[in-house]
Amino acid sequence: MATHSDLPLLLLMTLAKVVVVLGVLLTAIAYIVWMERKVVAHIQSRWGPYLVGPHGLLQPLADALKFLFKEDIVPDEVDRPIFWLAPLLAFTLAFLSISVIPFGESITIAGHTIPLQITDLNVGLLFVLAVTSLGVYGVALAGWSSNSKFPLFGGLRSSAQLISYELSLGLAVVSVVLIAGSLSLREIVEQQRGLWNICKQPLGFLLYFTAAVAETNRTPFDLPEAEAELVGGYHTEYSSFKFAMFFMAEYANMVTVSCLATSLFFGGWLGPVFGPPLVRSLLPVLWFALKVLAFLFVYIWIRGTLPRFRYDQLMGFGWRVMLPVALLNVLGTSLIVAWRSV
Amino acid sequence: MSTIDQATVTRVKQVVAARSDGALLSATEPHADTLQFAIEKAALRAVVEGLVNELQARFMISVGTDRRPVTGDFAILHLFSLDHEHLYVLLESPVPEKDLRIESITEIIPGANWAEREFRDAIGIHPEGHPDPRRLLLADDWPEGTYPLRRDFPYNFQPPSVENVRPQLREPPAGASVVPMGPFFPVLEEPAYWRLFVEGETIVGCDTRIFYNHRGIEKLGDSVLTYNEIPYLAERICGICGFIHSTCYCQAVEKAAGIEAPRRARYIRTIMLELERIHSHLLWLGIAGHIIGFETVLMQTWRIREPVMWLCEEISGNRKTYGMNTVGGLRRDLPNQTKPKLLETLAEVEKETIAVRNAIVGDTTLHARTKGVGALTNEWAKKICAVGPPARASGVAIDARIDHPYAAYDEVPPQIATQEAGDTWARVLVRVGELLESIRLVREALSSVPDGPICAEIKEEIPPGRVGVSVVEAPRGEAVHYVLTGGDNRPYRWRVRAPTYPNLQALPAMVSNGTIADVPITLGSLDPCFSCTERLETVDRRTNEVRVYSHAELLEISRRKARGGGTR
Amino acid sequence: MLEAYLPVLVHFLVVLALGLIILGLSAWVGVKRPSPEKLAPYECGMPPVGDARERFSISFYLVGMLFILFDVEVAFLFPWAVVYKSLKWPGFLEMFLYIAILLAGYLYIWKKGALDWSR
Repeated sequence: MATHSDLPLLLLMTLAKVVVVLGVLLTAIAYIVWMERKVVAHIQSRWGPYLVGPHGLLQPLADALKFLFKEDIVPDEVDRPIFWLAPLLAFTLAFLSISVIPFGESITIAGHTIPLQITDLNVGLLFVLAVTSLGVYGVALAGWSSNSKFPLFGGLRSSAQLISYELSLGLAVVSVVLIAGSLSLREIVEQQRGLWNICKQPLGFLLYFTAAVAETNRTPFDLPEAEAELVGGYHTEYSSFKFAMFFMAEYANMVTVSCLATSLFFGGWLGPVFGPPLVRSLLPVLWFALKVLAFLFVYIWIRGTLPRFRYDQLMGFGWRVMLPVALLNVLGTSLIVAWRSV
Repeated sequence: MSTIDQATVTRVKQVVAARSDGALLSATEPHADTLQFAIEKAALRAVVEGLVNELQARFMISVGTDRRPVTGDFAILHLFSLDHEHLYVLLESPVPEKDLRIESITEIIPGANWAEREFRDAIGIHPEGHPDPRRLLLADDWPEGTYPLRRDFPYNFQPPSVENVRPQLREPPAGASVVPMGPFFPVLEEPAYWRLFVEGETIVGCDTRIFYNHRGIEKLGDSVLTYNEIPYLAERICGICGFIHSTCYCQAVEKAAGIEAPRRARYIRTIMLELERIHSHLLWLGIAGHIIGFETVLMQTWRIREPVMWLCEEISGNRKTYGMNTVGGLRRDLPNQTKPKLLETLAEVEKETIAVRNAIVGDTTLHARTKGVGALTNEWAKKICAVGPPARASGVAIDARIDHPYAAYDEVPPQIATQEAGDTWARVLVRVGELLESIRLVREALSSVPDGPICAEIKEEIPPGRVGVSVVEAPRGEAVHYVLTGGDNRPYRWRVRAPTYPNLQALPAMVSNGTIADVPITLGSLDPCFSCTERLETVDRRTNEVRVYSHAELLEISRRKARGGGTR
Repeated sequence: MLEAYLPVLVHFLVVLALGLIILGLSAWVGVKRPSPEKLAPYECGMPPVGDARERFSISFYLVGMLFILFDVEVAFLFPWAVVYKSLKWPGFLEMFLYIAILLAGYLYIWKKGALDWSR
């Protein structure tokens, strides 16, 4: 428990951690975009970006600068405050949920033990779910405030899709909580020392991952942005960095759900640890990063190999397949857990 | 080898004579496969009804001609095809200048809707009883009473500038709202505006404005260009099936003038036509993938397609717009040394196409996106006069290569493949089948291409007043060219009907009761058109030095040009 | 206890500040060349028809309502799941009844066609 005298130190430490995490996250997003373009390009027998920097490595930087200097068009008759608020909301919420994700155990610097996590909330899991589901406001408000048809339809569709798949996502997570008996992500990870949850909850994981792909609007569930039908979807009227903020939010959400999948099902930072103390405390971070990266690769891989569903097919799948299966999974899990604990 | 049954010819004559009830002005046979009847306009509708009902004739196109300099009147010509009897039937009615009206046939043949609106716009003959009084091809800002295809209308006419003109479009039915699609729409690069009326996500109707890009090609053909210049313009009608249009035009003129293209020329035309089908179908497959968000299909099929383009470049000097056709044959031979390379490329394309086919045929998501989507019923396909793969996917077994053999198709006949379902998936299957069939055809044609001259010698001037009708089975369907020869070494009237013209008219029926999400792929399954080249090779005539311009140099040249500087 | 939330607040403020800075910067440095066409809502290059805030399908409301129903259920499941191991069989039975009732409702709305999107 921190006392009042610890408060400045706590704040300083938090600030440092926040800056590091955000820095890493922003860089990661930039290079996930690069990775996506490269991987998809190779799946499609193309080169992908290769002009800016070696192997196009400076492409993300060039893109960011371009976004910054693009004309920021705010169409007439949009609802201005909301039009500005929507991208900010999407961006802020997407970057907020990372705060309860544990990246590793802890690191000891100058006698202080610093947990590798911005904060360990005892309801961490609920916090992530709550913050990510608030993200739907960014989308809905963007669609509504644009005062244009395609964004309106895109926003509505997107909102409906997000809330539909959120149910299955939540239910899949409940099954994990049943096994762990805790909502703290740190505790959930710690409990997987013996056996990763993927072995106990294979169906739960499939449900979670499918719902997560839909939650992040990725192929084959990228209907809100299906250019073939709705042009740009909810961000049709957005340009310049306001558009980029939705884009960054999408990728930040991808990172978050991948982090969550790693923590919930794949033992988080757990992995073989050896070597001197510093290596021992940093290796878990590496394992964590590698697992997350693997998830991100799967995301990209899916995009390279699947066509897009149609909207009614997507909604039908969410309500008629995902939801009942997730409910039955909760029932089944609770049955087994009860059996075991008797 | 198709032969024309004389019994059918007699039967056609009987039907026309019976229905015209004494109003038959003349009956001629410009060619063995073409029957032309001149009928007084009062009886035209009855004769059309007879042809359609008794002989199952398929309407191809209408041609409005301003004959005032020759006979003092106008004429409306309806072109029909008796597909399985290998016959064209032309019904012509003189229309006197003082009474520019003719009975509409759209009620009998829904597919004649656009054709009749078109001659109303272009010539000013009013189809009485036509359900749609709006303009079709004439731009909305052109003043009333301008009829661009009349002989006294200058080809370089510039309309006065007008502000705030809007296309006349229907308002949505009560309770429905409007969703626009095009002209600036991410996956449909064509200049067309579709106004969809939707209730929720369901389409309850649609309206459209097309023909934004009218280029006056027919007008140039009968006012400025000469017979042998037109093939180059014809080739530019379409960015994908350019060779098809130039072939079709040349064949029409050859037919009108009684010129026989040498066998070798006909074989090479066949090879080039099939190569065009191969790269066009691969292109289409990619676009279809793009529309349903399957970018990998787009990238891979276009990669497979690329060697075909290189091949065309090697044969003709250009990836597209080969400039090979001329009246009487070809300007450029198929070099014999390209044969092994051709076969090798085809083998590679075939192997990869089969791989793509196997990959997509079993993809359940693709089935979910295309099966039952945008269905075109067999009955409506016939009524709307659909052609090409959309028709064949709806069980209408028509293929110009078999029905009206041209080039060398009488000696290397294709196998026709039809599907019954009429949905987007059926159209995918038809096209993929045709792709492989085309590869087989090129191989077969290559193995039997004869030696000899590539162009017929034309000794005398083409006499005026002759008629030539020619069709070519383009990747998108049957292209029709009609030529009426004139003086001054140019056609008196040249009429082009691209295959998309009838097929697009089928779209409203195909999308209604579907969802917005299905419109792009439904429209796409009719096969849109798109082409581009981003580099060019020139030969300096003085030094014969080959110079390849890079992308950057081309960009620089185009910028200089845009600023008003010269290109050299 | 509440100290655990302090870092969240710090994080939130930093992210918000970052977002505001980026938005402000881009609005400030980007070129500005507005024209009436550019500022019109996008309708595929045609003049807009009708009001953009149109009537839309009732299905969206339906999904919203169903979501709230089921999300409340999921929210109830979380505290139950956390303490489940100590509840044992009674806990299972109670939740079984709860979920069974919801499943009955689910089957009912399915039968009624509420999940039939393309209706």
